[in-house]
Amino acid sequence: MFIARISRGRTIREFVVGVLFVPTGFTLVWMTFFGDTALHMILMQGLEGLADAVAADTAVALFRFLEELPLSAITSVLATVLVVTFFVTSSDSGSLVVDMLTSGGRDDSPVWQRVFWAVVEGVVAAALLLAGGLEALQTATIASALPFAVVMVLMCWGLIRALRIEAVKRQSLRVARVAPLAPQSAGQWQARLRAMMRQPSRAEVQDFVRQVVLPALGEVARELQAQGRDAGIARDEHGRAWIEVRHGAEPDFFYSVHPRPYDPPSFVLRDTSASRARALKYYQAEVHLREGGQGYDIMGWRAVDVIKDVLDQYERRPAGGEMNRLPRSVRA
Amino acid sequence: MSEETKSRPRIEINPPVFILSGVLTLATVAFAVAAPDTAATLFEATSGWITRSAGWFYVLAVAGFLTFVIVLAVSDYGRIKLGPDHSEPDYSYRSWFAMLFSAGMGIGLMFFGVAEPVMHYATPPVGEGGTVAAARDAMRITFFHWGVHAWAIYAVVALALAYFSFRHELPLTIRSALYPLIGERIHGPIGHAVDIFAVLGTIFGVATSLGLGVIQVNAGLGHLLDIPASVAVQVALIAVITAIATLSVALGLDAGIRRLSEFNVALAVVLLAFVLAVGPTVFLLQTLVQNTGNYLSSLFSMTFNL
Repeated sequence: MFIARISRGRTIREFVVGVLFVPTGFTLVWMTFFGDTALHMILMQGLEGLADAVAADTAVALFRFLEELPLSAITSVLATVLVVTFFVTSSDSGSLVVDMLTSGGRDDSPVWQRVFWAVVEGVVAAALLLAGGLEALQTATIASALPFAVVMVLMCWGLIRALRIEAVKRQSLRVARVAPLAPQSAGQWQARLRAMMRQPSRAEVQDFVRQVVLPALGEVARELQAQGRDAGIARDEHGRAWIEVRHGAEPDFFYSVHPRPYDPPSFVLRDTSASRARALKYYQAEVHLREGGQGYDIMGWRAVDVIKDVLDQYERRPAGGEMNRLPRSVRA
Repeated sequence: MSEETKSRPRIEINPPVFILSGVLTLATVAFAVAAPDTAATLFEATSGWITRSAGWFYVLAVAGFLTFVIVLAVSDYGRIKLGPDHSEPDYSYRSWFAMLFSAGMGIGLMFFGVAEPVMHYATPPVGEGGTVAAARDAMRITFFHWGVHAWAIYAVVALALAYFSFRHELPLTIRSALYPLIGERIHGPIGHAVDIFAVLGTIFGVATSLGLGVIQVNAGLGHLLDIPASVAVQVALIAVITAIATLSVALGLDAGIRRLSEFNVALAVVLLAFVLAVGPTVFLLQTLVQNTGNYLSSLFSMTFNL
């Protein structure tokens, strides 16, 4: 779960490559350095005693091994300290994971829950040690892994399904996307050109959303309500404004406009300091549907153009059927 | 699903999952404590049974997961982001890699780092122990146990979790991955069951690594300070260390824990570098290359060898 939490925003490809090869690489390096040195000792330096010691008691292996190297007192202490600290961090992250799973995925649950699980883990470890030591521990893990393995197969199936639905949707969007612009009166194209050339600040975009987009969305909502649909608009403190049309059994429609920063053109030197970079950033008014940003900017558009775009997207939304198996965040 | 009471103590749990997992876990514990010998025999028998009857399933499943993940990455689907389309990664490449490194390091590595290769060398599954060939094979087998197959499992779970919660805003639990299959029913008993399995797996998995760690610490202390290696000492150690961990959770020292794990990895790397420097350095670097090559080339055959 830790891996999931740190990987937000990565593409699947990056994720797989990173998760499969980075920790594995480290593990292999570790195994080679430790294992092969030990084997080298046994084979080349004739330290048969090491092999016997390992066979007798695996726990001592590391320390017997370190004994053969210089500074063994220091390294043994180091190793012990390492194990203790790993213990603490393992218990900590373990209790976090279990806590999240038992509270519906939230990471802000009260402290006593985590404390409970941390204690439970310690108790379980102690109990299993009493009941048969290492063997019992490993058995318990293998046993509980079996039903989970079945669950994992289901997870893969679910993932495949969701991804396929996404692919279908992307295709249909790609085909349907038309340049969104309403017919214009004279003088409007110059305004459009000017809008393209300008690089608006955050405040300008927020004003635009408030003064042009929000009323336009309101008009659409009113008209929809007059037609008997359940529609509403809203805005939040980040300057976003959206319209939502609820269809009951069918998927809902959701169209939102966000002020979003984008990187300045390449000839502007990028400043490494984050806050300065933010000040340099120019803003767009990006359209978002349920499944995320659509990648186009409506800054500077007239109200009638905005309304046309909303209607275009509304028309293009997927109907029910196959789409029903996806959560609302994907249905447009 | 979750209850919130404004008065102390605040409760935010998913009742069925919380209670059932708790009950099942404590029941197992009570059984183990009350009748340790029966429990021990039972565990041994179960372990044997599972290996014999379900071993094929595990092997097939793991092979499947690995293939699944690789195919996904290589295909067009690989371009899909774990989050909304326009989102940027939370962490830079460097931080992300560092965190993956720290995920890779664990108590298991310390415990088995020396032991496993030597064990496979002394008593290899095929062939004669104690030869150079056995040594090479030992590393190959060790790599196999600790290599991509294990991580494929983590990758699948984490991928599903990340995809469904970041991109589709479902809860960050295992059950969300079943949404495309059973829709809103994930909030019902099936979802509960799924999450409970996940919880039990996690609890026992963490407890196992804690147990290993404690055995190792016991051995270490025995080595340094002549403290005897016995279950009693180990239980005492568990109590102490769990107390420390619990304290850190209770005091909200989460940031401290993260810094601690960074420290862990740094220390581990120091140890690693030390071994490299002090050991047969050139030999080690040569074998690293050779081991990797061996591992990669026999990946396929090892995967399906029961």
